[in-house]
Amino acid sequence: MQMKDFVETQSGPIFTHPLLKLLATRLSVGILAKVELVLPPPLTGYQKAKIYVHLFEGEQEIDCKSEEWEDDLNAGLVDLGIRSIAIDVETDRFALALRSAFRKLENRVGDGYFSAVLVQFVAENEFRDHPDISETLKHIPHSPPHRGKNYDMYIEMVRDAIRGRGVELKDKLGYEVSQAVDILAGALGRYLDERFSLTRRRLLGLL
Amino acid sequence: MSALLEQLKISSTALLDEERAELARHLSESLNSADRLPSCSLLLIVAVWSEEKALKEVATELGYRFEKKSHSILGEYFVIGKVGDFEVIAVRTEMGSFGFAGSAAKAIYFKTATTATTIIQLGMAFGIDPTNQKFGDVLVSSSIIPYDRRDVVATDHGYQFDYAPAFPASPARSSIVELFTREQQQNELEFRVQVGAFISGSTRISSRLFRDEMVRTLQPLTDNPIIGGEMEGIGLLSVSNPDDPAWVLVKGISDFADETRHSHIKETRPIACRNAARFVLTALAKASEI
Repeated sequence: MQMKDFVETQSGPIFTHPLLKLLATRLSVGILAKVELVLPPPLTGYQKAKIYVHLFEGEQEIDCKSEEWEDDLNAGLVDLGIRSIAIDVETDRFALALRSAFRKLENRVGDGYFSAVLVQFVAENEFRDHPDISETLKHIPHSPPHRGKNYDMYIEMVRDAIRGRGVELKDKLGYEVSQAVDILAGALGRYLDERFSLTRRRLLGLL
Repeated sequence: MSALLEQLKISSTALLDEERAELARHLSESLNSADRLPSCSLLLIVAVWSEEKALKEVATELGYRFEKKSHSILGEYFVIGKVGDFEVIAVRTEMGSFGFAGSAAKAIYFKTATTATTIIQLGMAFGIDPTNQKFGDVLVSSSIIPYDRRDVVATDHGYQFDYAPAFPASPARSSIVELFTREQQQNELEFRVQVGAFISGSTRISSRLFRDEMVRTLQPLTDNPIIGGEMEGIGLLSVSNPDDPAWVLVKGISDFADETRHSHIKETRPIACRNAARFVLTALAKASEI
């Protein structure tokens, strides 16, 4: 490859993880793939999530690849259009994707302010009435965020992070609108649950 | 309680958000028993009395509360209140990471019970470079290297330590490290602040040779400069998902883990603890100014 080629637009996709290149090749010859996610149970300690990618020829499973969760890997799997094996798994997966999407804003404004802005956004949005979120919201302490000069920008960043995942569900993974909305709301509910330790508190009898 | 709060919301629509939140807070406090679980967004954890004392002094000087409370399950804690955008509670554990009330156990209980998203282990640490560091300098962890996580392998002349299992180092919570790094760059305080890797383990070290040998062995295995060491940080590795760490260490240099530490630590300990507390509370207060 010559030096001038490094400044030319590449015709194919650029893969950020070795598994993605392998999967792209397999998909191109008609192999089907599904994602499975294994999360450790909430009270057995904190461990990384694991991604399993099952490969099928027709109905027959022919291979399974496993990796520890990485945000870039999951983003690549979504770009390749690889769905999860079940809606519940898809919801968990997109809860982790939301965590990744929120991280930039969280790093910029700090945890305290980010939590306040996020909860304010959800409370003022239709999401608050979704069954997967309404119960969760009751148990999250909330004081309204300071509305400084950048407040509107931060609210937009929260909105864009959520909308970005919603568009991925509909356009890249091909879910119908109503199903994409349900997965997205469920994912947001699970993200909030994990962030504020709600399930752990419930299991310990503290909620 | 929640029904009353709903009524409060409906009847006070003319009030500003802040006023409504304040009324709700007073109402829920008065309706609940003394055993109500504390709620906070940030936990400050200290391990020994001198760290607690320093935090109390600095918090009071800066105009914050330091109200002792007790819960039948969690035990004692201190309400500091709103610092910047954070609701802050302080907890004292036993020294060290393990044991019934060590940093690991208490941090797990309090993080779960209070909905805290961030934990700061605050106090004192040892520096690793007496030439370029001073007593009272404040160290912020970008990562922890658990030096007890090692293999002991036999050699022809005895044995040696293989520290490969201690890597990759565990990263601290990026949002809070970034907040402290910004404060470090604007630092208007009278002490120096460094951000880098901590070595953490259960050993109380009073040997320059051991300290230097460990740092010499570990430094090539990480890109992050090693800036200090202590004993509670490894407990925090069990408190949160390694994909989404909740913790950071902020500690003042009280000694250099060498033969001379006992001769001066009574004088340097309070300075180290106060500087760390002042740095943290100052940085948190400024966070909402972004």
